[in-house]
Amino acid sequence: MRQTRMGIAMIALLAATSLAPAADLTASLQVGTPDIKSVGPLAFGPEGILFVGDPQGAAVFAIATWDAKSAGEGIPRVEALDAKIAGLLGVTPRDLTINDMAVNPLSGQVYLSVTRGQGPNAVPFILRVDRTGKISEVPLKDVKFSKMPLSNATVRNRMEAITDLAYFNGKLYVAGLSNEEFASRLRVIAFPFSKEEPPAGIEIYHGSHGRFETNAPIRTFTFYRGADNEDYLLAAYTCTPLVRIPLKDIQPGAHVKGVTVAELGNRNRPLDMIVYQKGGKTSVLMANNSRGLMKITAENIEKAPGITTRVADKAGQSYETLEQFQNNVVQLDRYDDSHALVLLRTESGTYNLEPLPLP
Amino acid sequence: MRWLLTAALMCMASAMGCSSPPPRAMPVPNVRTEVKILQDAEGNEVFQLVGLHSGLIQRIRDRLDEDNNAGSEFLLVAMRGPKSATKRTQAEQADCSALPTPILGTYTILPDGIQFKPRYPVSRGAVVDVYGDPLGQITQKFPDWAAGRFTDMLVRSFVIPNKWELPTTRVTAVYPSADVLPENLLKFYIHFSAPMSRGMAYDCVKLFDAEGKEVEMPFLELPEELWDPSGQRLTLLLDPGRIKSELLPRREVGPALQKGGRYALVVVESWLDAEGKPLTVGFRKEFTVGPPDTVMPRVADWQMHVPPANSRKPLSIVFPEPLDHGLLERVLSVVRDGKTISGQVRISDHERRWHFIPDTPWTAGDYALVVETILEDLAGNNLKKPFEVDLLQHLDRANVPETESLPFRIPQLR
Repeated sequence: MRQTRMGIAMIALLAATSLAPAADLTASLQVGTPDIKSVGPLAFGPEGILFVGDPQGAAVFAIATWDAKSAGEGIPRVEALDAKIAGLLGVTPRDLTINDMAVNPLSGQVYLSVTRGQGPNAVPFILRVDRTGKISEVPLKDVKFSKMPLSNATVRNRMEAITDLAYFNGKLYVAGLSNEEFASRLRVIAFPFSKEEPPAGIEIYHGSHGRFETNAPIRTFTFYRGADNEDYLLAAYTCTPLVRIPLKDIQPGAHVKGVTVAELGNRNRPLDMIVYQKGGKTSVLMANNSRGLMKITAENIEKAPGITTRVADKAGQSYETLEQFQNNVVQLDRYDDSHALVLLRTESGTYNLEPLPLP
Repeated sequence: MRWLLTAALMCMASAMGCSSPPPRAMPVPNVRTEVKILQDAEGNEVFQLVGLHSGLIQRIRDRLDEDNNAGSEFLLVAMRGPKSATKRTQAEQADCSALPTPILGTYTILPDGIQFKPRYPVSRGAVVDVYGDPLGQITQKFPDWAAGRFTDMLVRSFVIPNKWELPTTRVTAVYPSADVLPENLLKFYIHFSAPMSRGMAYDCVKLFDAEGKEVEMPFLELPEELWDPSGQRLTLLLDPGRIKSELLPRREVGPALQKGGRYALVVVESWLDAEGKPLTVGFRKEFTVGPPDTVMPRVADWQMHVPPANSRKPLSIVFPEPLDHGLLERVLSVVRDGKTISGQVRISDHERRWHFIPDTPWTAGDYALVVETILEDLAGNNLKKPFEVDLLQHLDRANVPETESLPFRIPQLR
């Protein structure tokens, strides 16, 4: 779900700009075997290039999947996906972790980052689910790839969890959270990756009712183009605010303060967000751990003045909660113009992959 | 076999109603209740639960006398489902249908506990939860005593070992190590003797208040879990939404830690290590909560004890307050002529002292202690800015350096 999270207008824009120098991007990759130590968030760029976050190895990888054409019809639907993957990998579902899911918008195939086993012996896999639900392994040997280390991410016992990853307009955005100092870092990395050191992280703050501002970990983010023709990063923080940041402000070394456009209530930990249009209206669909799926209006989000006074429960952009998905959506991505794809935790504890008509 | 009785598999919730008993103060659950997993003559597993409250054992004994199918009315042995009891919402806890189903099996009274023999082998690696009244006072039958407060009734969780191997991994330390912690404490570090599994952290670390009530969602639950590269240290962030002023979580449910309160951080031993084995023993850290700390630490407040030349005695720095253990290990270094001196770092006095022992003896001359300004105190205030920046107070953020330097001189020996 960490990929084409932009509205239709945005996709058109992407097609017009970053997709234009098509063949150049895959050509920038070198054949070899990426030394991926762990697999975390996934995101798709143009030409079926898959970005893989590797928190253990403190790096991001760009991998050519050569999966850049529509791969048939239908939307994958797989019951007990975890059990099927476990069977494929020869373990019980307990020894399997599905870390992330990303839909390749060009082919409609679904990519999963999966870990088999635990601790030092854990083995990372990238798997692909085709439109009929068939699962296969994405080979990671002798592939075209490129690697960008995340500077200073791992020093002694320090590590950085990669909380989200997304590609937009020629740049890869990587949100990280340290296991030591309390700092949320957003790295903006130009793609193709340059040989130079990547830029240092940008610290992003959010205000709290005019009086205080704090650094905070970004849980998930997406992009949005406002009616003012500006591009924005919409970031959901771990402590509930939804924050708007103009992309042009996100420059290396900047002290960026986001505008809080919604407070989404207590006990709400965002997991994934997508932006979509339906009936001429733009909405954000957010999966979170305790309130089901939330549909948040994105209308005029670029104009929202920001929440600067105390609010009772929720405030800012209005939202509705889709009660039928109380608590059980663990992965969410946009599938096509009318569907999202979700990984649902069932009552029996297994995970189903299912399409969801966009609400 | 007077005490040998069979537990019913049916959900007694529907048969008995589900009224909530009045709330009462409970002690912190006794994590020292022991479970022994033994094999009987047929090679089947039996669970011996010893160290249960005598009142509870007596109640089960009385009840078994009346009805030999009634063992689970007071002590429920259940498989951990996809969602643990502690993760159930209050509404789900009040709903009988959400209560776990007892495992089919037989109960036997032991002198100081209960033996439970499952009718069918329980899966290897499964987590089993035991629920009952830890004080042995409740006379109601399941599910009446359980409705609405199942979390309080969890007396024990254990894991069916994958192989018949003894557990070897344990908690080696928890930081901060002090007994008094600020109300706006930002994190705990939990150290283990061997690499741990992922995905269980927020089920296996719990925070209880002085009345034994579990603090609801005190931690920032990140699906990735913040481990060090070896998988032996977990960073547990307290939910910043409940620390920061004016944010909704804090206004709605208040801070996780309240000044003046006494709390227990409990690590349950059913947490599996990377090899799928539980911990050898649980861990418990009790502490008292002091006032919030909103003041940035200042290098100027530190005391430095300089060692003599020609020795490997430590350079010691004393801080007026405990600082972050993880950062203390990493962000201070000793430099001479632009080169970092190699040596060992020791941290003591509840993270109030930092010692540096050089690999080779000190020589006389000028040195500097270089400190990265990301160094934090226990509340996330660092040398650059407080955890929360009050915009009514001016803070010159632009001119804060990445490091600060404290020069010192080791004099010539006379």
